[in-house]
Amino acid sequence: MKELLKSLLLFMLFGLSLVLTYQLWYGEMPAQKLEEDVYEELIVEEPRSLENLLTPQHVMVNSEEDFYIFKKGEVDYERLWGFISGALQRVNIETAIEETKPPEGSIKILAFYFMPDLPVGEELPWLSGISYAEIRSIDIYSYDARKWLVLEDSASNNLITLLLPPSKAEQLSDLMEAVSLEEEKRYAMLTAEKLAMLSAGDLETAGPIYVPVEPLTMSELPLKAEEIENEFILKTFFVDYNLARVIEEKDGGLIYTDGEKGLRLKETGLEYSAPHKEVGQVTATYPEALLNSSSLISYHGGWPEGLRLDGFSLSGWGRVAYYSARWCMFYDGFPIFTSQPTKAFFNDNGLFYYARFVFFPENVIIEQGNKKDVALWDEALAEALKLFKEQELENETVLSLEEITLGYAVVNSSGKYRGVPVWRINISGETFILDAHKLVLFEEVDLI
Amino acid sequence: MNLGRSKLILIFAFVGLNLFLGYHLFWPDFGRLTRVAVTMDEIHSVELMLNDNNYYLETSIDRSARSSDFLTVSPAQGLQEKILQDFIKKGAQVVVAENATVYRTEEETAVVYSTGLIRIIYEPGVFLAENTRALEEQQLTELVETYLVGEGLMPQEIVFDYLVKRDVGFITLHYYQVYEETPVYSGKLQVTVDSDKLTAVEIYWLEPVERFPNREIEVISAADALKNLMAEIGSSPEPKTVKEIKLGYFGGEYDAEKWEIQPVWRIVLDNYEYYYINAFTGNIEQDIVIPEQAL
Repeated sequence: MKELLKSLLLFMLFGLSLVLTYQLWYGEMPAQKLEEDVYEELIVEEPRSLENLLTPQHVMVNSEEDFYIFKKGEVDYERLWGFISGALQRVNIETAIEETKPPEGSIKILAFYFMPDLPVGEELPWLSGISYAEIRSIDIYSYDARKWLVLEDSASNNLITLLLPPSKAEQLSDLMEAVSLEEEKRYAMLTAEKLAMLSAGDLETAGPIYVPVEPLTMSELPLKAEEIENEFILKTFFVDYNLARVIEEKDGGLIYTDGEKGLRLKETGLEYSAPHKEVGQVTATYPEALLNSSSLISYHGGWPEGLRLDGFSLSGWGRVAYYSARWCMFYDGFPIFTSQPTKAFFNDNGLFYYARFVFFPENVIIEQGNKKDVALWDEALAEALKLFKEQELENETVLSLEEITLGYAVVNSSGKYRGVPVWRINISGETFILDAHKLVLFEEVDLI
Repeated sequence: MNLGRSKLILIFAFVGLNLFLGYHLFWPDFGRLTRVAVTMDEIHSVELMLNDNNYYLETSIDRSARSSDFLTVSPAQGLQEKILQDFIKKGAQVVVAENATVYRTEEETAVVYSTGLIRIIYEPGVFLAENTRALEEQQLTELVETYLVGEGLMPQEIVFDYLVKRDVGFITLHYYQVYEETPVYSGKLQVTVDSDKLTAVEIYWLEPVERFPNREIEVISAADALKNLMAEIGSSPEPKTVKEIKLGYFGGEYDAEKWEIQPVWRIVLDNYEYYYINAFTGNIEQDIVIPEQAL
């Protein structure tokens, strides 16, 4: 009996050793390749809807001979655009659309300028009853009690004329009457006649440009760079950033890369690129791409108050096509210029370039005495023309004035960021940033 | 010896064997040492795939489950300073250019790049032996290493990698850096021998700064690395052999304070064809992506 038990035990041990050997030799072992909880849920900002991401660059009110400009954030801007946006969303196209322009003698009382263009048409919030168009500007004309909206399609330059229903026209009249112009600065539209005084007829404007007639008062603005939470932003770019290696740059910047994409984190912002996605096509329509851009910025850092989409275009050559979106921070209606704007390039492959450099005004207490008159537009433009000619950049017979804007340029002095009032002037593609008080040129290296 | 006693001895032997096997199979930490990430079936299938693509395995495949982490490195300042001090002692003239500093004596010129790369050129060269092309590999490496050690140009943690006899007449000897017995392929030393003289030395040496054992994770298997390589490079028009597949560290040269280099499987084919497969992601390693607006 004892021998039988021994034999049985020996047989079992032999069998077990065979099983274990087989398991060790051929068995598929569970390979804990990577941590399994890398797909962590991220709570990010809701992307903005089209209505919230596209607003006019500025609203121009025409009162008798004078123009007044209202910018985003101002009460009258919000009221006027809110009313017109609502009217465009609810208007009955069949009864409102007119084949002819407003009658002779009607007066342009209001204008809305868009940068980027406002898409209208089917399946869009505005004018869903008409065929698709991208609107560059909306002019509002008045004659008797009637009001017309004239929309300019940027692609075809066609005009779409709509007659507001009487009740809406009356509401608009009431809104216009409520606009207080007394304390507003007057603006003038740059005309060939005005430019001729500076350039002997060799300068033209690329589009309607309005400049302040009287000097505005501005002062330096204390600024603070956006604080980026490194770990969170890394998770928005890398599925598992533990697999990305880090390079510590000599200036303190950090680069994270996994060999396919790279993210540079700096004290003042971030820069991302994924070159392998550059070659690609775009199948998204303009409105879809606008929404994509909203998702991208909301996901990668958020879309803070004051940051506005101020440029959007489709570019391409050969097998490369992409949308580029550009955002700019605004304070009190004035843009805050950085040497590198916040922008995103994307196509059907996804986001392949993103830069984010956002500065917020901080503890702004500006004493009235610190505010100083800035140089007038004509002095600034004359200086820019002089610089343009000095740099021997002139290669066209007629120069094009593409932009003349007052804003703030971000500089760093004694470790603190400040927004210095500047004129930004673009002549035939060349940009000059001049100190708005002293009209001294800012070199690119001086800017943050 | 009776049968009963024999059975008892066998029972003890099998108990011991089973304990050993079970220990390696199921013990979580120690089992890792010999845990297999690649089964024999997988090896056969990889071999078949290689052969289908006209590649032939001439080396063994590491079957164990391996883990690794990133290694933080910086350019090796100590070695650089020592080399340059020697140049200064010899009365070298120093010229500072934009991305490099040049130290020049009558017979030697050292160019130190901002990334940490040092290139030393000897004119007319240091005599080693008559007709170096005819020497055995070992004889030549001994001659070269004797000179480098004498001149303080040979770091200790170094391994001879390979030697190339170029058609035009010169020979290059390649070494790589080793850290804690693991190859650091980014750290390298290259020596050029032209006919009977040593004519140039190029050193790019790294200082390991820190490791992150808490970030250590299991890497892809050597078999997966081979599969990924095949998927990337496809079949070869002429037969090629896989000569080596080894785990090490690899990364680029940067003008930076310090950076991390990642574990890679280095796969060596004949004709000095080298591929580095990221052992975490399985991608072929290329240059890192430094964010910049390309368009």
